[in-house]
Amino acid sequence: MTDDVRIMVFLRRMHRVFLVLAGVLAAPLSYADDSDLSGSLFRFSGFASLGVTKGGNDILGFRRELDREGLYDGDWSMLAESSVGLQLDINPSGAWGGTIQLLGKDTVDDNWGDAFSWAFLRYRFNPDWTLRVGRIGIDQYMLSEYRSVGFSYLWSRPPMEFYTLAGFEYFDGLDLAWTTPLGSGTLMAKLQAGQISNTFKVQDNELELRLKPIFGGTLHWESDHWQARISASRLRFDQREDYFPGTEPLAEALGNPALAPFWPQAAAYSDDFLLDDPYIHYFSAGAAYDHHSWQVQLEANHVDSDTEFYPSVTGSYLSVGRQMGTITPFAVAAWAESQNDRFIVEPPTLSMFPPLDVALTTLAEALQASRDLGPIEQHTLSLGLRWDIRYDIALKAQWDHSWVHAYGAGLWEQKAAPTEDMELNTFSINLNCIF
Amino acid sequence: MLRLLRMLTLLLGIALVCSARAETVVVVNKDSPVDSFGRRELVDLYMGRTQHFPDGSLVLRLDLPPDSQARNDFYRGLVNKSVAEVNAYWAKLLFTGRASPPQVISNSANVLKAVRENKNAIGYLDSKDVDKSVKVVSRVD
Repeated sequence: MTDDVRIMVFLRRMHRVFLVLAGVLAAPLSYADDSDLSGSLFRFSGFASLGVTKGGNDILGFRRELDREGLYDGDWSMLAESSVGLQLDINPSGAWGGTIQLLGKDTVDDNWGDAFSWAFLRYRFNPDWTLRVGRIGIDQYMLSEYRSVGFSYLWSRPPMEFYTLAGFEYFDGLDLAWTTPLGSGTLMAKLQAGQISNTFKVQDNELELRLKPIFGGTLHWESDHWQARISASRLRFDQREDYFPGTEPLAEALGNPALAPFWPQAAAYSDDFLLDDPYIHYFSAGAAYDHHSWQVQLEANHVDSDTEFYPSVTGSYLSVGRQMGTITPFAVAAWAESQNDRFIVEPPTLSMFPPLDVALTTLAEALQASRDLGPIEQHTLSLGLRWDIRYDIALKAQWDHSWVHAYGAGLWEQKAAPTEDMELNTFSINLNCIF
Repeated sequence: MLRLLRMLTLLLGIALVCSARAETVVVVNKDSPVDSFGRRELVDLYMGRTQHFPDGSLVLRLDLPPDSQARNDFYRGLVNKSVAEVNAYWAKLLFTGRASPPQVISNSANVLKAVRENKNAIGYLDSKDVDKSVKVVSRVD
């Protein structure tokens, strides 16, 4: 899609969100006599981020989330990070409740179904136990369920080295939470179960990943100034006995028995794309401190995978901010690294029959290029400022400098894997508000 | 330079506002079984960690408008945060659907009225605005 078309699609989507919003705001919000609380069955609220971002280079595309379009060549874009969210909470009683959230942003597939970030029913058995059923936020990291709400955190965007690995934001299923006072704070334990499907872009292919079932557990403790959490989850690729989504043509070509005399490894390479043990285990831990004008936060995660094509990887970041009046300067250092070294394809033996040799060489190059897209090895230093203009509006400016190793750009949208180390800058200025 | 000046003006403004802070009182309905609230219980209620009174009944929490002095004083005294910081914190709970922030009431008179008419309501107001129709359970300064 050209930029013009994407902007039109985005604006059309925003237009629909704003129509709903206008309807909401037309509802009586007058303060004339608001002491009658009987009408507080519904609550409408929303958040928005509007900004410009400059990033990417000729082969690596910046993307804030995996389901966004990549931004290349150091271009400026208003679409790369802008979004609008609208939420309706319904509270018919203390025990029952429901939430629907619509999120408008420029995604790869522009599917309206994906615009529903939450749609769930909640039942509170008692003050300690809560069950939710429907489309729910994944509770596996510090920014769980609010990573789209820019106003609620310091940075322009969640650090990519950690949060791109935590690529999924919601699932369809249920979760059960238990809270209890512990020490000077409150402990929450939560179990989640369900399934996920989402569309990502790898080179020019859109691929839909389906994960089913997923199970996750989280312990989260929070006091006035401290937060700590640990999480673990187990996800299964729904495409069992299949090739990894998007790799089918290459895998099938490699699996052709006619290749065996010239390229004995071809069949094994084909099998590497098979999802034969399609489980992924995800672990994360984090802590945060917020007191005396200091905001410190760190998180680390590890994705453990048995599939050849989806490498095991570790990510982490440390963020420090210091509030000075309404301005908070901050710095973030972040790292991500795959466990495996670069996979080198064993070349085929040439047949001395030119047309076949061209095919073999092309196939070997395609395989090498495909395997080079997965690994991740990079770190980023970010510097920025948040200015709280008003109690509901914040302006942020941020500069990220990323060092990406050769064949280690798996966190970026790639036109081709970088053959040498690269440095990239991402600049952004954005306005975040809640309403 | 302009930004620096603006920042200094803001800082000065905040310093003046802080020094002029008045006492805020927390009030409940006269029939409420609650007679007093500690700081911890208030923080738990107003920062969304619990939505229930100690006896298990659901609380109707009331806030004053975000640009009001009493709201600024209340959160500064309770958790030493600005209204913007408290909003950022609440945005996390609200947009995750975990909890809804307290209901905003336009002025102290309406807070008194709402507390009088709802057994489970809790609100705060400047101590000079309180009257005997409600029960004071805590003071924040």
